[in-house]
Amino acid sequence: MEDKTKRGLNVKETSIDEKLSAKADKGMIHDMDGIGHWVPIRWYFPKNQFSFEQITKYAEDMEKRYTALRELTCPDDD
Amino acid sequence: MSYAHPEVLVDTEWVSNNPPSENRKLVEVDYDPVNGYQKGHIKGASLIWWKRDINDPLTRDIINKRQFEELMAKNGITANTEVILYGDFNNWFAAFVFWVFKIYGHENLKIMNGGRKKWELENREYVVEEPQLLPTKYIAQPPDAGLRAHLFDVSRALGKEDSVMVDVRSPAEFTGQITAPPEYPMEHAQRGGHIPGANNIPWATAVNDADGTFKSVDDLKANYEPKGVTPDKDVICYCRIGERSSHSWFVLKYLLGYPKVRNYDGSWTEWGNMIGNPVEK
Repeated sequence: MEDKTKRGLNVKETSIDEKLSAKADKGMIHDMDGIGHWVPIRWYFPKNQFSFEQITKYAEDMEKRYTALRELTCPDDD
Repeated sequence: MSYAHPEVLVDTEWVSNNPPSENRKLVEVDYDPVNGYQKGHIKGASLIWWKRDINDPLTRDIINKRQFEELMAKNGITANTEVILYGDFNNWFAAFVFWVFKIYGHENLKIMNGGRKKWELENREYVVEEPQLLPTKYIAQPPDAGLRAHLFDVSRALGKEDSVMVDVRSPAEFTGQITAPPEYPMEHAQRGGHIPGANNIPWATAVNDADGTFKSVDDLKANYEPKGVTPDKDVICYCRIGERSSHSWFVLKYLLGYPKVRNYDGSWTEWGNMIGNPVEK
């Protein structure tokens, strides 16, 4: 699964994403104060541990988060 | 041949052998102190956080004279203290703070060549304890406007043959392919490209890849002079937010001894966002 809003971000390490308990490529994004935050770019779900439905649910949750963010910044943008 | 002002540089070995004291302060300057200073720093070093400490908290500007005096007092620095700066991101932000120190007239000031990068490559020790510093009374000089270029200075220098602009960003930023890398979403501009007539001489061409130390005088001259960046010109350096350009400003002014070099700290995030500014790609 890939977070396409993070495309172009350099992969700095591959390690376990604690939130989804799966191996993930991670990059760093610096906020307004300059502080770097690790962010997952893409996740690798082993077929023997995750079902397709489970991963679809993660993808939908991610989509909902971005929809909510868009709503917050551009409420009139349909 | 030695640098024009060799007294502004110390190496990591010198810092190891000359710890901070009452009259010598070591200051780490970080863009990202959470992943830098707070995880470990050279023993006795205090922190200047670029965003919080050297910039005005409200207006986009460097701190004023009073704020600078307060920052120095908090860091136990007097006008006579020998200050050694080093930091993350190849000393970019240490160079920016060096520039601000010079704007307010601090004399005895040095940079640790190679910064955190070299210190770490040499597996030297870091600590997490912060030093206990006694507050001081610091009296700064009035700001030296000759070290800083504002938007109107840059506009006025456009097309003048006795001025030269040095764009120290990457070639991809210079050509407008990107306005900022994805790691820095807060540093984009509305337009990509460069200030008309500017020379692209990336900051990295002034340092040795292996350890981030500055190149020799001969190598530095060979880097700038063939592109028309010569000591007889009024030189203006810029990048995206003014930190990499202060690194090149330091090289031109203190290592090569150019008499007239200014840092345009508004840089591309100002120029590329202003309506009507000319842009070249």
